[in-house]
Amino acid sequence: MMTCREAARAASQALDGPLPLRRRLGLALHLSMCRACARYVREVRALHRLLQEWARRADAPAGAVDTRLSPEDRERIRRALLEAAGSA
Amino acid sequence: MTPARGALPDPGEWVDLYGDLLFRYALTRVADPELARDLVQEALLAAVQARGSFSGRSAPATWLVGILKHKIIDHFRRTAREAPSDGRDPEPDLFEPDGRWRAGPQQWRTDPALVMDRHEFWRALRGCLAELPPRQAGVFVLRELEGLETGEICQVFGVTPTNAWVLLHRARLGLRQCLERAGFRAAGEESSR
Repeated sequence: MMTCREAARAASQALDGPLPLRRRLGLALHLSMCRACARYVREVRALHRLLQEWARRADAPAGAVDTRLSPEDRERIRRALLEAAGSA
Repeated sequence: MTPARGALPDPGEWVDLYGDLLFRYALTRVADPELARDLVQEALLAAVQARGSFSGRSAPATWLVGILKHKIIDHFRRTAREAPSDGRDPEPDLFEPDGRWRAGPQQWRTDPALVMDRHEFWRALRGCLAELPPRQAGVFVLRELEGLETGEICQVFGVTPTNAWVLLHRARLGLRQCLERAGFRAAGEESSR
C-alpha cells in the first residue's frame, strides 16, 4: 500500500505527465481510502486548473495585481525606447 | 484606444499602451517589482530592435507579451545557474517518517476556483511564490503559468525529468502549506485526525 507521502508525490507527477499504470492504480486505491490525501489532491488540482485558466488570459490577468508602473519608470522606459528607436 | 491588430504603434507610445499590462504579467511571474520593471524594459527594447519582423498577424500586445515571456524564461535560466541548490524539502515537516501526514492538510476555507477575481487570493499566491526557494518557484512558474512541458523545463534548468518532478512537487507542497497559513483553510473543527 502506497504511503501518503508517496501518494502526494504521485499526484503531483500526474499533473505533469502520465503515470506508469502501477503507480496510477496505487494512487487511485490510496485516494479511495484516505480522506486527507483526497483533500490534498483536490486542492492541488484545483490550484493547477485555476492557474492554467488564469495564465491563458494573458491579456487580462484577472485581479492578479493592481499595480502599475510608477511615473518615473514610465518616463525612463519611454526615453530608452525613443533613444533605441532613433538609433535603430 | 488599443490599435487593432495589424498596426504597430510608434515605440514612443508603447509604455502608455502596454506598459501596465506587461508589468502585471511580469510581476505575477517574478514577484520582485524592480526585476519585473527591468524585464519589461528589456523586452520593449528587444521589441524595438525586432519591430521590422512584426507581421501583423497577432495584436501588438500579444506580440509584446511573447517577447516578454522569452525574457522571463531567460531570467529563470540565469536563476538556475546562480542557485544550484534545489532548496528546502518540505516533506519532513509534513510527513511522519513512516509516510503518513503529520497533521493532515486542512480543508481550504475558500475554494480558490470561486475567488478567481479576488485580489486577496492572488496577493497571497504572489507572496507565497516569493517565499519559495528560487529554483522551486522558477520551475513552478514556468510549468503552471507559462505552461511549459517537463522537457522544456529540463532544458531551461539543466535538470533531469525526475529532478524537475521533485522540484515541482516541493513547490506544490510548500505553496499549499503557505496558502493554508495565509488563511485559505478550514476553521478549527475541520482539522483532520
